[in-house]
Amino acid sequence: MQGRILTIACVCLAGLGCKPEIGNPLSLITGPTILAVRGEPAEAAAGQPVSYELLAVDVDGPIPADNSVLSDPALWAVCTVPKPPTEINAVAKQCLDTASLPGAAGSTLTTFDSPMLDNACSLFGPIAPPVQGDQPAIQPRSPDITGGYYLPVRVSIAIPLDLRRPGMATPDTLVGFALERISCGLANAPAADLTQYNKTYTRNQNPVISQLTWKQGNGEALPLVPVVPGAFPITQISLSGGPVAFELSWPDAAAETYPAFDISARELYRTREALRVAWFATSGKFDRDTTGRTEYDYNLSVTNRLTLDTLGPVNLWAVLHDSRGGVAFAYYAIEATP
Amino acid sequence: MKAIQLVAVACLLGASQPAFAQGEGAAGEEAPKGLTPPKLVKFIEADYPPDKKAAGITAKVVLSIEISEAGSVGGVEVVTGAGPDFDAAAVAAVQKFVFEPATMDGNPIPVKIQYAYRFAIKEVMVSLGPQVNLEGIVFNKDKNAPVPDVAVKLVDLGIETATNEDGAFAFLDVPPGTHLVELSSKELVTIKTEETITKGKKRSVKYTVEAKEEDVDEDVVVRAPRIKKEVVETRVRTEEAKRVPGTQGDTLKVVQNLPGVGRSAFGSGALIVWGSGPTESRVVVDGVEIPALYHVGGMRSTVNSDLVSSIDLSPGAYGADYGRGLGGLVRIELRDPVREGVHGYVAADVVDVSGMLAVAPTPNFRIAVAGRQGYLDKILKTVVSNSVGDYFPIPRYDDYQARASLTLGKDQELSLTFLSSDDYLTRTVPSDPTEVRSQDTVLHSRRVILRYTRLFSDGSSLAITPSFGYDENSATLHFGSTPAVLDVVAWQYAMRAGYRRRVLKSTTLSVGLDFQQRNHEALRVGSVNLPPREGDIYVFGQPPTGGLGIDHWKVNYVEIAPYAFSEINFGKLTLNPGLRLEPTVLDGNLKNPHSDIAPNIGWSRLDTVQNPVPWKSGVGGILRYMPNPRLSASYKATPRLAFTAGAGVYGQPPQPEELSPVYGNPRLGSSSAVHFTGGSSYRLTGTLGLEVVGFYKKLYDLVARNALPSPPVGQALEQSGIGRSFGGQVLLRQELVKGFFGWLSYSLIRSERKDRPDTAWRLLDYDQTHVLALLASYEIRQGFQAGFRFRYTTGAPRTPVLGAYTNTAGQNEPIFGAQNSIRLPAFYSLDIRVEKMFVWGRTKLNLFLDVQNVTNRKSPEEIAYSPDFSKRDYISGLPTLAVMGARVEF
Repeated sequence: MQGRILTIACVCLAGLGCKPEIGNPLSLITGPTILAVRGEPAEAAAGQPVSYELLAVDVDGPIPADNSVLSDPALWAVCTVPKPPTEINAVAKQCLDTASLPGAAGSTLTTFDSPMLDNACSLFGPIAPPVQGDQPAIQPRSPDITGGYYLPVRVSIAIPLDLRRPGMATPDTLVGFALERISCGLANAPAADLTQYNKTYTRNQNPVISQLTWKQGNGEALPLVPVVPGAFPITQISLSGGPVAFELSWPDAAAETYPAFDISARELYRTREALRVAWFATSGKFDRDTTGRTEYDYNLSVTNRLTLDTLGPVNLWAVLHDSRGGVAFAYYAIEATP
Repeated sequence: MKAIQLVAVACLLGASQPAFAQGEGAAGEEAPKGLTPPKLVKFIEADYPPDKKAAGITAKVVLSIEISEAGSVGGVEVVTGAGPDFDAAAVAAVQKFVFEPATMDGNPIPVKIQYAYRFAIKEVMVSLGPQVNLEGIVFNKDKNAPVPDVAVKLVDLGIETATNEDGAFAFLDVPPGTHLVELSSKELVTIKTEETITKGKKRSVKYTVEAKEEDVDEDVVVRAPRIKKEVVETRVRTEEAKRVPGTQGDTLKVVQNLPGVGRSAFGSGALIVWGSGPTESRVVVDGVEIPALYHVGGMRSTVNSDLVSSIDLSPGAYGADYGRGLGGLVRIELRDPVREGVHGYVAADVVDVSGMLAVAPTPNFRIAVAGRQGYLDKILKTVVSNSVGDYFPIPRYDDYQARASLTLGKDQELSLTFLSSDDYLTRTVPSDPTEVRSQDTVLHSRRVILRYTRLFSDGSSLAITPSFGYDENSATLHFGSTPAVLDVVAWQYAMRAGYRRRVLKSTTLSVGLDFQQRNHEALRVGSVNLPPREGDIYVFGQPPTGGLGIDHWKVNYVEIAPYAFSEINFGKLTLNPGLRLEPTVLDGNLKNPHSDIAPNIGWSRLDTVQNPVPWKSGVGGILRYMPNPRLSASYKATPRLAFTAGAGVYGQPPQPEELSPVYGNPRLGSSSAVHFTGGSSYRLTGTLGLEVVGFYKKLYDLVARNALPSPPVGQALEQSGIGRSFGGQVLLRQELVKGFFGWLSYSLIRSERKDRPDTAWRLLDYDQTHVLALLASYEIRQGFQAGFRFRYTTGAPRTPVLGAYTNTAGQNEPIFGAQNSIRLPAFYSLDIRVEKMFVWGRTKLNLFLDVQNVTNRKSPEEIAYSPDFSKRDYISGLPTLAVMGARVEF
């Protein structure tokens, strides 16, 4: 066992790692960026319709939009290739191959409708595919910590030459994935747990943002009104008033409870979703790129601070993720005044 | 076979008035051909008993001294005493002597000599140390060339030495007067002459002798010399190793500076030898495998340096007595505790505190205990910041050893050794509560080693080493709420037995059995991708993805490896053929992943290291399962020039983590490798040597991840990989002489892997093209030493990131380019060490300052990327690190 213990320890160190501050923080939007891809419903059974929505943004606001330079529709593709053990990313490398998986436009510039694959639970879930001839049986997939299995749905948008930046998936394309949770039930558990699970499990729903408030110093917390189609409210915030404290809240129901199977103890237990907010702004600097509440934290809001550094318009997005793959997002417009 | 007699290698090696005392039965015997006696390079003056000195009493104590092949003094016995106080003082002094080891045909061998220590009051030279006052050179009249290995004897004094490879000899402190000198050799006509020594003057002479017409065929054997089975083996004396800068006096850390050894990244301490991965090399202590040479972090070795007698690194093509590894071999031989009195040391520096105490209740029973406790984590947190440990892995460690030796009789020893090593690493990277990363790693290792050795009167020897041990590795990581757990507990039971004897005049045979049983119990929870394997493509710090599996499995290995090897001398040519069979019974409790529906099925099979012949049936099929051959050869073209070559088949069973039905594959068998090496060495002077070695390794049936999107049940890993590494190394080394030693080593290595037949060759994750080490240490004046070390290595390969995409969690994931197609920038570092020794009688105080990375070079250890992967930078290793410490010996 020479070197084994040491190697394991060392690679664990490498895996944990820590990154120095390099480049812009994730929360600073400096060019075309995909912030999220949401499936509605957040969890679907085989054959169930799912509508996917892309949240891609630029410094000027969401893209692609009818009034932006990016008016080509996003291209969508459902990937049917599971991730092999040789790859560490969430989706297989083949899912990025536009030659074999070219993609198609959705019903709008940013949406796409596609039913959940009929064989999603055998491709990506706990059901072993049927054995072909004398071939050995296929190893079923393991669920994530929440018991979930996911279907990767790729979306890509073409970016004009003058807006391209390093780090894009390909020189001219932004790529994102929705990982749509597949309702496959519980596998490889005692019968009693299976019964109990099927009786009590409710499919995940996308979380909901209640409101976002802001304040400066000891001032009163005021709600920010989100930008929605047909309404573009702009909130003026004084640059000299110091950092802006935001508080994003969600309803109690957003952090859903659900049964999960403890693979170590091999027993069913009831738990709650963790919620995490990813913050984005086109100017200024957040204290943290993300803030969240674990499954053991029953607070219904998180706070973050934005230090504005330039006068003028600032676009701000908050994306709320639940730990079962659900997503909600909101867009706010700010103007930094003297 | 002719009578095998004990030869006392006669040397006059320096003392106040040293003289050789001939042992009974040794008179008239000749040293074996090719034998070069040991040379005293470090003389310690004995404490003169005060009352005797005051009374003007002189004495002579004749001692029998065992000198190891490393030149260190082992057992010291009084042959002819002069009273308890004189005897004790002489033994105490002689135990601290350091010799240049005796050699047989140029190979270091252990010898036993007799040595007379004279206590003389009027000798002025006491205060000056030993002086050469008779030296000379012996020339072959016919060839007009210096003649090595000529016995030069001062007959009237009964002292003797031998010429070295330059034909030179020297005597220390020959008493004034006329002495009878006799020169004898099997190849030369014996001559006798007289020389007159004048007080305070050195006499230099030149003798020209003639060759005999006929050789005298006489078989004289002391003890079977250590058979040099390894064609490439670097041995470093502990006295040198302790002084290497950058090692903080840790003898075992010198291995990191030897040729063929790659640099491990900061925080790893892994052993990378001749292009082999860290899991492919083995470390053995007194023949017993231990899990790691260094503590986590690589700051210290796991065995106390003061218990170490020798360290041998064989980067490849080693002998048949060891196996179970595809890569190199590090062998550590422990030192026998002192045979008299109480000795020990206490040392402390900013890294750790350590100590050792050795007691000899009786000359036949010796015990030693040692321990070390690290506290660098606490020190750094005090002087830097409280969170430093969160960002840099600074493990806590400790190790403890105990050793007892019992002399059962003449040339019979029994020793019991306990080794213990622990590492702890706990840290949390502050972050959003849902993304907090934490790590808790605990490593424990224990060994109990019983060793019985016996040297028979016919020169044969026996060593039996039963042992058992316990290893525990527990690593728990959390990436947010996602856990990654790997716990492996192993019990090891082993027995190594070897018998060696000379079977023919020119042939020595060794046979043995290397048995090892390991029972593993493992628990793993988490993604299949964490911990990553060699060959995985990922970026530093990338969180695991995919499903959360679990497996709790047991694997037992019963490995019975009989072996045999021989040394056959054909004059200048020496062959070392060997065979080793490594059948392994493997059994596990889970053939397929645990199921609540189907019963769990265990498995068991016999596996063996297969010879990689191209045929699988017929004669080839038989050859495939024959014992693994190993062969080395050396040809001594001239006394200075030698050529070596070697080859062998080596094997390694799958690791227990790889036999998980969820994360690995219980069907995996042994991987194998073929090593080829060849080179030459040239002695520029008696202590300055140049070695050039080339090597090629081919590896078969390597374990790799299954690349199928949906692997079959229990086949997350497959045995589809092959590998190769090749290169060469150069070592120019000045051994310790007149307070100076140093070496320049350079290795040019390329190591590649091919995970599946349809994939291209790629670089090994640990590949380092150029590895250079230059170091030197010099004793400037009495007790004050200074040295430096410069290291340069090519950066390790990494896979570039070409772009990124966003997953549904709003996290960017990298898009990779060609595997291992870029490298980290090169590493280089200059380290210095200064130390001062103060001596008060038996007590020594050593103060040292060891400064690593003097130039504060920010050597990149890893690549880090911006969150959107559009920019990259490097994570640097250690800045300048000054380690100041003190050590008190008594």
